[in-house]
Amino acid sequence: MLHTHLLASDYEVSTARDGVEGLSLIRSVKPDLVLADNIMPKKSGIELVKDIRSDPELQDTPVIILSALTEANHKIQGLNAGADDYLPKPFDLHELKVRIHSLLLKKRYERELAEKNSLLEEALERQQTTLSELKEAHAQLVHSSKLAAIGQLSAGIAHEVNNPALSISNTLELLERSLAKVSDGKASFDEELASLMHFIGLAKTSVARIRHIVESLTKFSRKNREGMGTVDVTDGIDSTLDILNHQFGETIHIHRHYGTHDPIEADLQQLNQVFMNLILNAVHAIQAKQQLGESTGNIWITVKSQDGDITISVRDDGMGIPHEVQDKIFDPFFTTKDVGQGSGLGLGISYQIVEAHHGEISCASEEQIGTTFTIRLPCKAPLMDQHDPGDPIDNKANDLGRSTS
Amino acid sequence: MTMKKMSELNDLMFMLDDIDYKKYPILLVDDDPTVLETMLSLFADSFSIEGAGSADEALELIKTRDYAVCISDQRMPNVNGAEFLSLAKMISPTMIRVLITGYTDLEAAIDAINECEIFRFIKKSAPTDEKEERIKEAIHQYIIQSEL
Repeated sequence: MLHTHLLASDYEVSTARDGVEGLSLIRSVKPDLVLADNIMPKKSGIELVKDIRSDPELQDTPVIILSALTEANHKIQGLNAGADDYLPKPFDLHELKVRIHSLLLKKRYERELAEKNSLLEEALERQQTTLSELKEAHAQLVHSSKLAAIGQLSAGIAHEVNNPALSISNTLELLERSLAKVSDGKASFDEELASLMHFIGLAKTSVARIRHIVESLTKFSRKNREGMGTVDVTDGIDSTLDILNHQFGETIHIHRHYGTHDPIEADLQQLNQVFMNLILNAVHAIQAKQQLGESTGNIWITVKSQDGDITISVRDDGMGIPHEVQDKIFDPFFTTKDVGQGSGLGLGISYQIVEAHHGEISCASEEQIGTTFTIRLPCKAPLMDQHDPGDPIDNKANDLGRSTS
Repeated sequence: MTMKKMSELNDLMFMLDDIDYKKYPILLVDDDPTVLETMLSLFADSFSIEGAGSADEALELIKTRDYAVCISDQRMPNVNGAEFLSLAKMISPTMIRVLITGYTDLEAAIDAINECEIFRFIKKSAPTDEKEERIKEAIHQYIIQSEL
């Protein structure tokens, strides 16, 4: 206590005569640092440190014990009890000042660090909220692009089903009329037989057409329960072409070149979405060129295996993509189509689906000549089952999580 | 409208009860061969009706013959029904134009009315007698238009 006046020039100092008085003073003043004798009446310095450390409001307060007990075990006892420093008596005042200064500095840094840490934690939390919002929005986006594609096709599919349905209802009516003629005695059964058989044949063909459309639709949208499976991509391409059949009309010709190819590990339903986007894009590019009076209209679809990869290309002789937008075509919402004609999501979603399959998609295009999209997929994708290709952003979320933690 | 025109119109309306519909040639255009064949068979008893399997074929026929009514499917490859009918109108402006739609397509309906003055829409799923009724109305319109 003799030294308090020597410290008073640098710090504001309060003093207490014993351990008990000291503790209550510490509780009321909440000092930045405590200097305590070890040997004190009522409560020893070590006991005081223990009390400080067990009080949640005080536990961070730095404590230096000053003591004439200079044995190593006393020092260890003091430090074990929670003292930040243990200074044997007699001590050098300068040394004490340096130790006080460095402890206070350490305390300040710790406090600043804690503040920065909590700011960081808040920022991280905000980021995670944003990320989960982003994921949600992305899921919505994938869903709405699916809906947009279905919506775009539904009118055509309805037409494909309505036509044979009308044919069936017409043939039934014709059969009815024909039989009525027989029963009214206006014609003999033998006279009507040929046309009866003919109408029945038409009805059967129409039923087969409807069955075929329904089968392709089911194949196209069939969801593998596990998502992933061993699949032949040409099955997916064929069923997609069946669905899109009404889009081609008489002026768009499809050329399929399927080389020998291996089955691959993939989610075929998702790949179908990619095939549909690419083929629809080709159709639109061709139609745009045809509207300018050019009589083109070919889509070449090629599949081949090479070095453990499978390559699928979709080439058209349509309008081509202007050079200046070629590097934007995979951006979500990028579209050159009019409002309502395309969401601008098709290629963005396709890109993500291919990426989630550990593959690559690229585009080569020349204006007025045509466009080729090429997809390369590994036949066996390692780690594939650990990812959900339906949620490609998941992978990015994990990356982000790693880099900030 | 003058009194004279009014009475002429009354005479016309009276006349409509006793029309030989088979005197008025009709052209039906549909790209679906089975639909085309069965529709032609169904209407053969009531009308003098011919078919075309494409817009191009139909335009060729219209150039060679005067049809009273042309009925076209809306959904066809290359050119839709409304587009075809506006081309047909240029060749034969007096021919009454009817559009068959297999599904609700508001845009097509608006185009059809604004650009090629469609007289009637027929729903593809409508029963045969309703379709016949629409065709008869189209023939009535053709008669009124050519008499006035």
